[in-house]
Amino acid sequence: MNERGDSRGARPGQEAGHPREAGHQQRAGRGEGPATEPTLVVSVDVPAQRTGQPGEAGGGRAGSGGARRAALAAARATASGARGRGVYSLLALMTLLTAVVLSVTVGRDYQPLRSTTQPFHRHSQDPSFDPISNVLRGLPPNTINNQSSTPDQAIRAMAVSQAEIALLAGGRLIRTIPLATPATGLPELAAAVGDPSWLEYDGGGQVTVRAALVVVGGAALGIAAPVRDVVLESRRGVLLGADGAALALDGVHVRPSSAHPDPDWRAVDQNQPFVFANNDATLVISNSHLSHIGRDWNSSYGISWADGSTGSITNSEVDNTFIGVYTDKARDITVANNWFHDNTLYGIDPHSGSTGIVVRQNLSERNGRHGIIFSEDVTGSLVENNITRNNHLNGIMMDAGSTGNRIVGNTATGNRGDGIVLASSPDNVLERNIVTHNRVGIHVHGDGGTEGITIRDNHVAGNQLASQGIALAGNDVIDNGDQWRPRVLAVIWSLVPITVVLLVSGTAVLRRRRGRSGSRRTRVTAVGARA
Amino acid sequence: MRTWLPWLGLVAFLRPMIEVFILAIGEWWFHAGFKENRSLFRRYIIQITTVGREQDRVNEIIREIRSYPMTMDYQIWVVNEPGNDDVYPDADRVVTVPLDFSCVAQFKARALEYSRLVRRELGYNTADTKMTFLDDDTSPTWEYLETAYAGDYDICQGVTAPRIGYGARPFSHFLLSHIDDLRFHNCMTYCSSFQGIVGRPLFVHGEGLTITGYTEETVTWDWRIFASEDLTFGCNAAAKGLRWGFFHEYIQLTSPWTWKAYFKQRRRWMWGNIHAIVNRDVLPLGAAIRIAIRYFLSLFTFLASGISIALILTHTIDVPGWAHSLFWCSLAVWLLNFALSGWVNAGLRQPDQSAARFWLNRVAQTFAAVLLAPVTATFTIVALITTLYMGNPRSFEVIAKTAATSGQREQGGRALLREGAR
Repeated sequence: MNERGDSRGARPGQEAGHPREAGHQQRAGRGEGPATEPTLVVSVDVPAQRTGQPGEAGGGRAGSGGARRAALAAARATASGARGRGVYSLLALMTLLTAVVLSVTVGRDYQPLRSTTQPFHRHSQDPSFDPISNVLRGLPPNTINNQSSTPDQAIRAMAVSQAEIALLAGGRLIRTIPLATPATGLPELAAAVGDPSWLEYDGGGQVTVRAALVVVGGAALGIAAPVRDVVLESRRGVLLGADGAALALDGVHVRPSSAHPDPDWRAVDQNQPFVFANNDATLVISNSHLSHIGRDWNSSYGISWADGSTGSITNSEVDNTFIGVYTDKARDITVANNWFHDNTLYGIDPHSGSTGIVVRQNLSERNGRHGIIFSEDVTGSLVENNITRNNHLNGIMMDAGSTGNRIVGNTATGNRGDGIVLASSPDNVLERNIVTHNRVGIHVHGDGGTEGITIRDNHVAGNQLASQGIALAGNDVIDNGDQWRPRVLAVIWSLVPITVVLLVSGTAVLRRRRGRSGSRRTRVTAVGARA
Repeated sequence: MRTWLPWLGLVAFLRPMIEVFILAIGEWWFHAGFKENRSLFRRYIIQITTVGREQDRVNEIIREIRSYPMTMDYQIWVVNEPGNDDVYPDADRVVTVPLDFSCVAQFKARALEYSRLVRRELGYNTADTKMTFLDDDTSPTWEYLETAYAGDYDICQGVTAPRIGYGARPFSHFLLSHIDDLRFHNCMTYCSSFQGIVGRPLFVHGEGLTITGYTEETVTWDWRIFASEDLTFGCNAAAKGLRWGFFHEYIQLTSPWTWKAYFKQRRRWMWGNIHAIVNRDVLPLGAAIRIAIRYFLSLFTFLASGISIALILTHTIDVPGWAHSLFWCSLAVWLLNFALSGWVNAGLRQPDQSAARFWLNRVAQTFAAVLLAPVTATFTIVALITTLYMGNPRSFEVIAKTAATSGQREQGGRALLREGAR
């Protein structure tokens, strides 16, 4: 090989002891892997080594000189050793990373938020005349257009005024019963009507109402002892109502004559009776039990106050109605010391512009949706010292512009949905409530955001998530999901230094052992002669 | 479908987290277990294999190596194709592959095979001979050569870092440098673990590959390949029971200078690897499966994480809170990985560069690497798909290695190679 690198013109004899192969044999391509030892002879021109001494193992020109090389090698080993100590930093860094990863995974409580999706088909909320007007006209209570609808003879009503009782069927007056003195109770009314197919008193405390019984024209009717059991016949148009009058129930059990056990069935059953106060009426219920009444239609939900009506329900039990208590543009209603349970939709539902509602010391539980809900501009009201628990959705909810209300001292616990919800309802005060073991403790969302919302001194604990949509500074917030777990974090981070020490020590031992043991191979110089 | 989709997404999201732990374990393994024994070796050959187009760069590399205070006897060989003048005055040997030399291997592997035969002629096919292979765009650090020489392994290599001209202008090279950030990351992660710990490589890079004469004699370069000779050699070495090692020193290389060169390079890699994967006379089955899974995982990670993000944002799937936190951790780690790549790759200081300029550039390139991470990740997949679409080049197409030569036609070099192959 010449100095120009022509491999076919190499200077002979440069590499003593490595004779070139004689002859030139071209290798044919092959389809399998190569053999370990080539068997075909190949002509190779060995290029000359241009530096160093011929026959030397190598021609390296730099660093020649044994002592200098040894010094360099030692220096390199020292530098390498120093650089190698970076592995300890790496171990510390990876331990920290592991701790961070563990902290954000197991060091934090991540209860998955339960789904609150509960399919339930609500009837349309088309505006309709109030049920009392409809039945007085001989129309079913859910009639939307009472001008074009045809009265039905089966729809019957007893309109009780101060001076008379008017019996109506299909909107037509059947009979008028004059009253010498205003009727004060159902036994007197039953006696005056004298027809058990309309109203029947069994003399033993049970009254069966077989037509709509409506107190009208400023009259007042009280249903109390000796009546203990008011049975509203399950047929279209039967209701217990007051229209611009006063109705009081005290110590009675109000129920339908027959009730389907399936609440979904009852929700659409037009034969379901209900209690309703309308048009500045006063409805006062106390010490009573109302069950299995109401259906899914405007103001026919169970016990309702509408259009300026007022009154109260106290010390009573309301269960298995469609909605326990409902108000629509009502005012100054007190709902206190009651037990609402197992109602199909809500326990207590002040609605649509109602104001001055006081909901106090009630227990509302196991309702199909919310325990207590204020919806559509319910203002100036108070929800105080109630317990809402185990409802299928939220415990207490302010919805759709329900503002200026105070939610104070309530307990919302174990609800499938959220504890207290403010949905598009700013300017409310939440104070001293105990909100535990719900989905989200306090949930604020919708229009208006958090404007004017005061949330203070609440105890929020054990919920899947303490809050959504609002911070809970100034509240007692503990052991909720999505919160750090102090004990777990303490364990994780206390293990960090121990782990680092162990890893660093182990690595140091390994490195020292490696340094001492050197190679596991012995020097080999020929092919196939490996140790 | 909604039940398993989040988990698939989570696996994809968690890949950076898993990778950083693999990287750390690989790095730890090197520091704790890499064995050196200089006394085993008495001869060191540093071979630069070149077509012959980058003569200035090759001489620069040789001068660079000559400037190192090497602690062993060594020779620098240049293996090139005929038709080039011998302009490597500082090389110890210049081996020109004869035109009429023929073997099963083609192109670069053919040249390597010829140089192997030369070494056999010289009696350098022994276990006491170490050799490190360089390309005409790679600069090993002094520490790299010293460690590679001393490493008590039949075959070993260090970390590739596209440090030469990293992030430099023109803009295309700036982008392409950062697209190569993943090369460094992959090397640190998968080379360190699969070569260092498992002893069976997933990636093998020819730049800086260091073997003994015995290893070369046992494995040879003579495989039915046109590219991916490094992967083929490395995997077959492992399959023959030879010991793999990995060390953390840098072999510095150059990213492509033009998009054309980038696609040419990636196409060669892609199809070289595919050829190796599908042919059992090239890669053993285990290695082929390993490498195929690696490709599949890359594609899966990209697609699954992309689709998962879309599904989560559209609330089509719900992910538990802890998974969200893990995702954020993983995302942070992913970006940190790129920051590390940028930091290391920008770590080569030019002699004429002031300290302030060097550090400023290093910090800027680190930020650029993080900012460009989505582009880098996406473009890697784009390149994968594009090169698949472009089809098999069936040749070893070399690319320009410097800004100066990038403007020249690369076709000339390719033609020369083909001619050489004939």
